[in-house]
Amino acid sequence: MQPDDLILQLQNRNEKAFSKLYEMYSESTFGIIYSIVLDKDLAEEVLQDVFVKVWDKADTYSSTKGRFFTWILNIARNAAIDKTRSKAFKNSRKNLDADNFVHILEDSGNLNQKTDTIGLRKFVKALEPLCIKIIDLLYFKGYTQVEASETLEIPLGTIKTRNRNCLNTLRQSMED
Amino acid sequence: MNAQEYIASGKLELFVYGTLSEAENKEVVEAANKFPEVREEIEKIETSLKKLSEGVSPGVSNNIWNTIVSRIKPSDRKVYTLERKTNWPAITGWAAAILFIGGLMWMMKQNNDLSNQIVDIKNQNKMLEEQIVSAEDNLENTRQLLEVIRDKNIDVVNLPGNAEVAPDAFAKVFYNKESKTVHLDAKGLPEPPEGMVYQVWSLKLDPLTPTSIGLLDDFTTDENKVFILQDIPDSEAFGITLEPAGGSETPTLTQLYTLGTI
Repeated sequence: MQPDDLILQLQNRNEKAFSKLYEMYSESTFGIIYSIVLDKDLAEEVLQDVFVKVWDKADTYSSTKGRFFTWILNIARNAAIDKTRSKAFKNSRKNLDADNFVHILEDSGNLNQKTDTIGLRKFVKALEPLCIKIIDLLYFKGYTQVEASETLEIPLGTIKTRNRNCLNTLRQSMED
Repeated sequence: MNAQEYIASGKLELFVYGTLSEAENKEVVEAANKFPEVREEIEKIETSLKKLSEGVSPGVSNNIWNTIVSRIKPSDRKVYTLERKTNWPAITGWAAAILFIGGLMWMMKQNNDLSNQIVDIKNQNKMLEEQIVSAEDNLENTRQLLEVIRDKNIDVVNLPGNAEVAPDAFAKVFYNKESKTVHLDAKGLPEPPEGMVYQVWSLKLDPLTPTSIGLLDDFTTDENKVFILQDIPDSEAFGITLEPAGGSETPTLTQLYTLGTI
């Protein structure tokens, strides 16, 4: 269930609803952004921009077009990718070891209270390397299947089947 | 596609990723509305991805939210505007100055009005003085006339109108032989026509000798129509004729208006 009431209130410029939605979506959004810009300071800048945009453009969201989660996700991805083209990004101290979400997860102190990071780490580590790459590109980076196929030099059919299988594996381990 | 086929298609994952084409996206939205299982599957995918993303997050700092709030409410930022404290001394000062200037202008106008009134009244006074002088003159003239009439040397001569020329006309002569003066009361004469003038004649009867004793040039303008004629020769009768302007050597008898003997 997505919080349709809160979304409606947000669209009516209700700050309290906005604050609750921020509570619900800021952490995941920050994860997406960080996986792209790989710098905490820059990611924080982007996160601010994203939620200011969520407030400003709230009335452009419609449940007939998709999930609220997806709407924010798209804003966050685009803002983060824009950031990677900035001078600040080129000068930032990127975590060069972390080129996908798994590396970030494995990276030392990422133990925020919202998630069972240790458990998640375990599940993710159990994923096949290809699955990690596919989830990273399709979900975190927002690639289309065709783009992912070209980037990974894997047939499009493989991408299509693995896309669901890989995520399913992760989901099952998480949901258990 | 039925619900299970949708779930197996891999499109629901891409739907949540936000990477479907617009047409495919619409299709999934419709399927989700149609099949509760599809909707449920979408929500499960979303929940997992949300958790995965949260796990990747290095932790959102508490101060981020404050920054966002300050950015969406720029009007709430504390802006130090100049205190709008009422400056009573200044207001009082200006009010006093404006009142003072207003009062000054009002007083100047009053002064000007009074000056004009004084000028008017002075003019009126002058006129009244002139009227008084003129009234005094009239009084003096009347008094003199009265004295003339009362003088014991005066002969009063009635000059009735000539029945043929001016039956209604008449005049009166107050003749003082001693001072050779005649006061002629010509009030009973009609206005002379344009270009004509009355001429007064002293007459000796035997033989009949007319002597002009004066022209009543200012007949129309004279108010009391009393004329003083001097240097009158010995007279036995007086007559008045109408003559062309400037008078004549001898009286035009056809225009004899009045005639009277002593």
